[in-house]
Amino acid sequence: MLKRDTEWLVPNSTFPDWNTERAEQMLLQQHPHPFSPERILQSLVLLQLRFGAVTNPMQEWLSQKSGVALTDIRALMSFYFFLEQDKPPRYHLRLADNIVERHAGLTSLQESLTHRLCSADCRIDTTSCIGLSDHPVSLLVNGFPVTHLGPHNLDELCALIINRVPLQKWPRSWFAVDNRVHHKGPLTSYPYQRGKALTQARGMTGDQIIDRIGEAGLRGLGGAGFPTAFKWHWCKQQAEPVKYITCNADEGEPGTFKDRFYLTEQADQMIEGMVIAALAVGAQAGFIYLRGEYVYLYTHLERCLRRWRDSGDLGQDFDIELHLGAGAYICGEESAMLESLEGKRGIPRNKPPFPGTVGLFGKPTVVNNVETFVCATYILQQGSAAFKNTGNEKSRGSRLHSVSGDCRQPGLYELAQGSSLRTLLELSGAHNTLCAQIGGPSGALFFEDQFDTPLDFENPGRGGSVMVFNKDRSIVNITRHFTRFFRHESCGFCTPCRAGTVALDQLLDQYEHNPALQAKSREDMQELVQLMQHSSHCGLGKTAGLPVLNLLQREPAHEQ
Amino acid sequence: MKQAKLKVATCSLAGCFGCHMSFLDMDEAIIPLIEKIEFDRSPLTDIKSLSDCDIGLIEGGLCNEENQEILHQFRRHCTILVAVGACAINGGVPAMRNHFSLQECLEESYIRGLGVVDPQIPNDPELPRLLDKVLPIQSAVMVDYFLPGCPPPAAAFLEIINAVLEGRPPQLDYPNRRFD
Amino acid sequence: MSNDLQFSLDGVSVCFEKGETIMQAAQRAGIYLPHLCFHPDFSAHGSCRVCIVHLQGKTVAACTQPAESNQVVQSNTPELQKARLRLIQLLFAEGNHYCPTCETSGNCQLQALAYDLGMTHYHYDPFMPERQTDGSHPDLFIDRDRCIQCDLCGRASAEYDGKAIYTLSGRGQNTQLVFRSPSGLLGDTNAGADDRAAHICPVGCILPKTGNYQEPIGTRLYDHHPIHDIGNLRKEERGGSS
Repeated sequence: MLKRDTEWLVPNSTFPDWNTERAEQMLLQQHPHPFSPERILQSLVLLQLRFGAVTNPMQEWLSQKSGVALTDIRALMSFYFFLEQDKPPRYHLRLADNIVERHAGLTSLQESLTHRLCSADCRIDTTSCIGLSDHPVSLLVNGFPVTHLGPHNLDELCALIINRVPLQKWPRSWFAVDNRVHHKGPLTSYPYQRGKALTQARGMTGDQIIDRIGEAGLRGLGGAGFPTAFKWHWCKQQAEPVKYITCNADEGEPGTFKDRFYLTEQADQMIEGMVIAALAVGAQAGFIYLRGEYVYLYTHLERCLRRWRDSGDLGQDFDIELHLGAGAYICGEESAMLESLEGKRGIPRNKPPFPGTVGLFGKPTVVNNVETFVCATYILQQGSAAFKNTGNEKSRGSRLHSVSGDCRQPGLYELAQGSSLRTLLELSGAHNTLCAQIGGPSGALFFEDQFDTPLDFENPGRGGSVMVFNKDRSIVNITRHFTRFFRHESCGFCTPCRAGTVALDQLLDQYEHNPALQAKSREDMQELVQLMQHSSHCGLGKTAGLPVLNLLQREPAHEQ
Repeated sequence: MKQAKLKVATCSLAGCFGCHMSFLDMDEAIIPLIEKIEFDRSPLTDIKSLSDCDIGLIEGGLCNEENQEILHQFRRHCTILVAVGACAINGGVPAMRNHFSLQECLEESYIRGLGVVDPQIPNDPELPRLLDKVLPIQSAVMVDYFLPGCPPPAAAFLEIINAVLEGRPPQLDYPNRRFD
Repeated sequence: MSNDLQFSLDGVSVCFEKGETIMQAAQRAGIYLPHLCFHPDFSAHGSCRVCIVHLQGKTVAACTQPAESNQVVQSNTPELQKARLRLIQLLFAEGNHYCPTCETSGNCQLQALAYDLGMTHYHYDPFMPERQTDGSHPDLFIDRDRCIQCDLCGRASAEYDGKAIYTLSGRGQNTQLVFRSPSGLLGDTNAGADDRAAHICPVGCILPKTGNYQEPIGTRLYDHHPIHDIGNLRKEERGGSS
């Protein structure tokens, strides 16, 4: 039996020296075959976490042990930005660079840190949203989140770093993540009884389980809104006997942190949902793909999984493996996630075939978001009707919204599907609101005249997040920030996204700074966004131009 | 009444004058053409000042501040601005220095270069300051038409002038659309 | 019997065999669909997107989209030709393409498509990336400035040569061609000048070190013949087509 011992996975400011024995032992504690090619990415991630970097000798050792070419290991290192080959500094500060953090003073904080810590044993850079934009300014220190950095604690932070105080002795409150739900609904308040839904499911056939999910009208809560029952049914009916269940916990859409809540507070519901899905489709193995930014939840999730194994509900016919991402937004795209689970660079696959037919390791695979599995458990325990009776005709149930930005109470809100944006803005104490970004940068920007839009599957922005911007904010700045985000996160596979995101960024710059070319750049952007929408390989490229489109719609062309 | 002649201005920024040579390469076709156009500022006429023109033909990209100034002058004075040749269109051969920093380029030429005597980087204030990167002219101004080629064939020049004379957009056929 | 295995491409009825893509069927029917990363001998990649076609309201890559009965596919429309032109322009802007000095000029598929689509300029500002060259191999030279990340060399090396030497690394705009050797240099691999991978490059990124610039202008592949007439040829494939 694997120990899966991760006692060492705590905030550290010193990493043990690497040697092959220590490394091998650690990897073997986590997995019986750490050197198999499909496990190689996980081994890299674990080495990074344990030793603070994957230096050249470590890469060479791993290459030797696994038979994976060094070039392929380097290719992984160059794709996953959390993998570092340089010897780590004592403190590596990665400031979350989301627009909400920018508005909360990120830039001046970063400048001040860089200036004051220039001679400290410390590296300061930024990373895309870390799922804490309700705690701005947030950052990762050696991989672990510190929240609410601001002028009030900047001096203390600098002093701790300059005085080389071990991370373990930093104020505990700095690492606190508040997962309070400010407006509760059925999902966040029902009396969950661990295993009850599963017992229900065990008394049913696979088709009956799927019917139950279908009757409830559950649709995928990761953003696409695809009917869950259909996905499960499709996978079940494949003749191939080996099938997989995968849980997408790569919540990377900036401004989104609802899965953080479920992973922390309702991990059992999520796991139970996965086991139910496995029963329904006849799968033998499951995987949770946890984003690298949420590594602080890794040990917690392993413990939850262990409890399910201890009770005999996992590990017999079906077991779940926990995988970590490493700083690549694209891996939230389902087929890129499958590639990553197979130990490769996260390049989205050609579709068709879809994962339900040819998924993980070529086998039929269910891919669902964390919240979707949580809802499946809810439906099996509370009944389809309980779910179906909330929400509206096409969007059943309720869901959790992540609210951040210019409001009195950023955080989590559960609302029935179809509730209006205005309701959410009022509940969160948004004031002097200019606009709100729904569903992250790949969603939509809504202005006052659209505040009555229902938040549901029939409207844009289905990812469960709202970033609020007040009237002092500049739409051009927001747009540029989102555009750079996509440029940074493009996987680089297809022309329109790889080159288009760069060209779009350049054109935006031209639009803003060169009056002589403003009209032309406006026209070019409009055309380029369309080109990207139509010709890109995956959803990232297709949506990467939407922020620019929002801007252009809002800023009508001047009379020529 | 005789139709007014089309006023054409030309210049070479960061270019090699090869495009100008190619223009002249139209041989006898230049004789009827000269009935229809007259040159304003151009190395072909040695007129140094620019007045309002119908067409400005720009050879070369932008490598220094003088290039920028001349380009903006041309844009202000020319109804139709044409980027002529590979360098005007993408920086061309001079843009191959973009791989290196400006300082590296200068040191390679004036300090460490083969056969350099009395090594020093020229710093006479009369010399236009170099830009960090060599840029195509479309990065700075609106360009109406592009004549690709290194150099563009003489027929392509003829076509663009005839097109403007006839008030239609130029049409470069397959043999006249080339990048080398 | 195979009568139902056909679809319409620009109004022409095209037969296909089960499992074929739109591109494969079109090629067998002798219809040219513009492309760069596709080659009939290797698995499809779907990255350049130049072969996009309209398929019942959607835009898809012909090289990866399975052909299905009664599909209505449009390729040669002004809108799609414009989109392809822009894609080609993006490829030109993102690399460092200096045709006047390039050994492949005249035989280059990127350039030929640009000619065919009426390209006169980049349209987008050049990105001016800084990319490394690799001259470590005795017979081959690598100029990454011209690489379009199509992975044809990677596929030829893995699927035909059985060597798996060439592959792509990095992310986003930093995606680059790399070689499987501990040093990362091509010279430290067992790459051969006669490998299929060494001759598959549609642009001028993978080059022989000798024998370049020998064809006078006017005699090269695409000097007089548009790519839609003669296909995506390589120098040594004159007369054949892909």
